[in-house]
Amino acid sequence: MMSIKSRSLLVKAVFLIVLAVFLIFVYWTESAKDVPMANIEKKLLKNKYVKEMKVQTPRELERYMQISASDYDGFFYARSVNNLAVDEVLVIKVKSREQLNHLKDAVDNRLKQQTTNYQGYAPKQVSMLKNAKTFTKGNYIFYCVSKKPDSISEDFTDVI
Amino acid sequence: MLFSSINFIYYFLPALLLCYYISPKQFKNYILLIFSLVFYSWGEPIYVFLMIFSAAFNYAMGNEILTYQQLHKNPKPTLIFTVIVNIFILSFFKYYGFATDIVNTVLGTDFHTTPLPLPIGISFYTFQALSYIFDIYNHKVTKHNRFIEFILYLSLFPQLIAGPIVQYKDVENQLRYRTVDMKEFGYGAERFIIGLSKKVLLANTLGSFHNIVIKMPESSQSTAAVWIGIICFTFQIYFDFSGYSDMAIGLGRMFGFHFKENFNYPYISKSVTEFWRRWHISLGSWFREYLYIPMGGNRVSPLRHIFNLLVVWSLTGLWHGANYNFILWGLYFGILLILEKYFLFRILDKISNKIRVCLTFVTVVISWVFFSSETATEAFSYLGKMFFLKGIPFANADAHYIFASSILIIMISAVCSTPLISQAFEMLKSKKAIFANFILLILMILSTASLIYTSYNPFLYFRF
Repeated sequence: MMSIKSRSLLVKAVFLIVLAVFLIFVYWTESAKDVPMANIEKKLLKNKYVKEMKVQTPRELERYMQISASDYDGFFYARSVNNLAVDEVLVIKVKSREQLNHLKDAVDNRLKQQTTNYQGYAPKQVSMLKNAKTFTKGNYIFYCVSKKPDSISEDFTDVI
Repeated sequence: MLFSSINFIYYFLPALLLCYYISPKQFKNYILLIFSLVFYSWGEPIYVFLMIFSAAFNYAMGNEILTYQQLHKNPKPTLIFTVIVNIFILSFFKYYGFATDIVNTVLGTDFHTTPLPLPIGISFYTFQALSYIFDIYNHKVTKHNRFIEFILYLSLFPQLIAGPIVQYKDVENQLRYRTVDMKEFGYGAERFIIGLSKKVLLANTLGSFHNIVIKMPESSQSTAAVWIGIICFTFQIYFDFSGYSDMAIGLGRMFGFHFKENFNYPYISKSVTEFWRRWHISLGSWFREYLYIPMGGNRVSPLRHIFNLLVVWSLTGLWHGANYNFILWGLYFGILLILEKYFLFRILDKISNKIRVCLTFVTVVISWVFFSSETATEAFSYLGKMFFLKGIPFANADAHYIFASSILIIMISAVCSTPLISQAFEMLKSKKAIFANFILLILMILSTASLIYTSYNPFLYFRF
């Protein structure tokens, strides 16, 4: 039978191993390389679903997303030119991770607003909004509404 | 998930209340635990595992310390190990980017760090876990507890994201046996609605004015506008934080928990010392009990006492966020407390109470500049604008506009931060309860409408 001291050491070692595995996993999944926005834009513009959209200016970012571009390190925002389409993709590089919370709220509000706008007469668009993809990685937030949001998000994660 | 969200108020809370009250007594803690974990995992699901790990680890270490004490063996190495692991976890998520910046500044190196999202409430639950460990070590908790009770203590959703920091010894019995009657439930619901109104109707409105001021282009800024901005933030942070505490205390009551008060009208304080007895009481108690007193408190030489105060207040600042401005904020209060204890009280005692309240208020308003700024440089620049050092005009058309738009909410906030409204409400409750309930109903409707129709609902505690 193990002594109290050996048991105590074993328990501590197990906890430390579990903690190390968890921290490595979190670091691996949550972190991202520091990539210039130009590289991200270049990669995303090669995606056939993004090609169909129009790249937007800071003024349009403010108008549609209520996000002020000057507060951040950089952004890429493209949306469909068709008035009835809801396709859009947004990537923002933040100056500090604390800004991500505000951006998550802005994206949530945009999704809510768009769903309210299209609810009742455009089921296809509403379904696309329900499948919207939003996530943060490192200093970036990614948001996409598209027929194939996974294809666009994969292109984004490939770069970072 | 936030308390001040439609999802929480109209879906999560009713579902929990229903499940909790129809379930047999022996399952109530499990129901609360499951809902608390769902509540926590709403934003960052991955970090729910960190909380479960923290609970399992601290529970096992607590049991080990108890076993050592029962066998008359030395539990100190286990205590030190537990404290180091807890501080390491907190530092890994909260301070390592800041520590790297310091290393780069001091050594001229260029280490890069990849920031990780901060697990919400990590500072609160780590401090709760540490208080449990210290209380066991100091023989204030003497019994082996069930794991369900301990994990519920750490993860209990009302106090999880913004406190109050509950000490285990205060809720130990309530985790095992608690009852709720209609009166308690009603009081809980009342506190929740009052807290929600403080957050949604007052804090969010004040926050939007502060936001307008900090986003003003340089050409539009004026001394008057920056003063209005920081006064709005002063009331915003009070109603936001005390609103969350009210909601936490109210929700606790609805499930039979009695949490201690966290705020006691801090803006009527007559000194900074009194302010800190009234502001974020649970954090002050934690630092006093587990750091200040073990360091010797004030029963040491004056020099050592000053050192103790500076250490405690630097760490209080650092607890709020990993940035120089928070350390400066803590030190600002530390220095003021030292000055009051050794020098200023003799002068303050000769001044009328009204002037003392005004002086303390201005001192606190200045402190919030450090708190509301992203960096120390930004804080000093803002202070420069407040004290005519930046060459901006005293007032202009923008200042006039912001004054005219915000003066009503500032005046309402000033009155609401005194006990007057609360006393009037208590009187109304005792004389015409139906009117008091009607007021609560109106507040609930207004808060819901505000949550639905306005998009500005900031969350100030992501850094904590």
